[in-house]
Amino acid sequence: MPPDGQRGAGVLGGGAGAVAIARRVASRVESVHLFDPFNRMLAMPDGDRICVSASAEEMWSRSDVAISHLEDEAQLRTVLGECWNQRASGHPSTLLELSPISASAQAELSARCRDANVALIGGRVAALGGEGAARSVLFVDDAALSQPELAPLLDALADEVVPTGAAGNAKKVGMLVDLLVGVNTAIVDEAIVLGTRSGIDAATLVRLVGTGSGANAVLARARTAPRGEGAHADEECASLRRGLARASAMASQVDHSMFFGSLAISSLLGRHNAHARRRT
Amino acid sequence: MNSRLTVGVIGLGGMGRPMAQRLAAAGHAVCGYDISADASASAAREGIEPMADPAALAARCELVIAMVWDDHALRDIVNGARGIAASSRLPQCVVDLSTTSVAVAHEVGTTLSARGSAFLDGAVIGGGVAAVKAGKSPIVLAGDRMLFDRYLHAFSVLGNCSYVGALGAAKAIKIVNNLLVGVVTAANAEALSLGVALGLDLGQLVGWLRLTLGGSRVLDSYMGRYVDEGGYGEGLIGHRLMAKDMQLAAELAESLDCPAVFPRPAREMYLAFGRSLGADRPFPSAFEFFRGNARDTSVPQRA
Repeated sequence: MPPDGQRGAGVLGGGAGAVAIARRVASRVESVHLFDPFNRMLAMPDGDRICVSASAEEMWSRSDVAISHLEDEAQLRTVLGECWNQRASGHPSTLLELSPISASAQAELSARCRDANVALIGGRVAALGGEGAARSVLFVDDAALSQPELAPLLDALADEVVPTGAAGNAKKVGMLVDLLVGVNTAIVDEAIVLGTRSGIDAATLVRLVGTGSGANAVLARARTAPRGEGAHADEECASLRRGLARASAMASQVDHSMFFGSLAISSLLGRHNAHARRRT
Repeated sequence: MNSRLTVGVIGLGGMGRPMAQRLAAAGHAVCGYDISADASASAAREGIEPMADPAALAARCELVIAMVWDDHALRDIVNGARGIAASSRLPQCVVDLSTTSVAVAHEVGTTLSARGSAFLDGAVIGGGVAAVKAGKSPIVLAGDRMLFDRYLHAFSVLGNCSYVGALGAAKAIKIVNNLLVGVVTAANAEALSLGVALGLDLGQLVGWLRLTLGGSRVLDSYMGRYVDEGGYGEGLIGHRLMAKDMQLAAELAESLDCPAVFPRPAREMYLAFGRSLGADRPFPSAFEFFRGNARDTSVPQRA
């Protein structure tokens, strides 16, 4: 446990993603102060550099830089509302916001943060394609590059860092990734079921189509880690549907169609329901 | 033993003609037939002996390869008045590499078997015309394993061949592959159009998405090329044929009582793309459809 008063990086959020972030950045700062505002921490992080803060105020006051990774916009508003009330502490100076929120929500929250002398910079972490171990890419607004205190954290947060330009762009790219991953997962699931019911062994099908024009990163992942059933698959399915729903909301904002995203939601929901029926 | 064969190729279009050329270049005697007299005449200038009809071609050849438009065309070249089955002498083996249904593979296989000729179903599952020309296409073949082994030396001239099981299995794999191609391409088109509507640069966006779990070969091959070159690539099928492929997937799913949300709506979308852009425009031009229907008009609506 670092001594009282020592500053470091704050991490807001309690899900698996936030804990993973805390672990990643712990190697680059003196201490990480993790605060789970909704008591949903799935696993206590290990390592002496990670401290669990009892309140947003404690986390906030001990951090030069904070990273937020919450489930949605509503959670983020609640947490930042508390933090804005503690602006007198003057810390942190920068908030790297990685939650799956829209670019317009980021802009609104950014304005509120500016009033509290905190620079809010948007980003999204996404899974890299390709076979092998799970690796990640961090899409981040260009403003992150001009914040020296963020420099050691950016490299730690993902295997690859990609600046995306103007404020809000990283959120847009992240939602488009969610959209494609959701659609590709749904259609790969359907394609594998169609192939296996046609008498083709699933592993053979995935290997052969992987050499064809239908190859994609979700299919390649299925080759090494087939999607199963059960609680983990249900959670993944729900997470994909949330991502698709967010992308759909984003499309509505610019009056754009979401035909294939909507089909993917139906397909994933159908798969989920079929699994649930089998279990009962 | 890699013997020199007399091979017939029926369908001398974008895929069939380069196959015939490769077989001829490998030393086989090649006969060709196409419903278009122009295509047959053009192939004749490249050493492919033109034949008057499939029956005449069948009488001359030990091995016949079909690369035709659809189920109807395949039935016609086999069962038509001057089809293969009407020939005085049938080939040892007929192979269908077209994108046709599992059902028609069984139907044609039964017909030819009754006439003493064997049938393999097959498919080219990637690489497009460029890979066919280079002999590097991934090809799947199904049916009698001994027959596959006997003619593998000839099939290998066309690409990297895999034996995949009982009759119909190759068609099923092709249909699954094309279902993925069709849906992922159209979904990419819609997502990229949305990205542009949100103010993102198309070229950068394609590059970013390619890195991620949302990446795909169609994103690399078609949209990557569109960004770099303004086109989608050589010899791609149009919206009409992609709609047909989605129909094949829908019918296969229904025949197997298999839950499938995508195939029928995807077919309807490709028909809509065709009505809007032209039925024979390359299928990745779906992007232009979504851009044309987007509210944001800051980018060209029709490339």
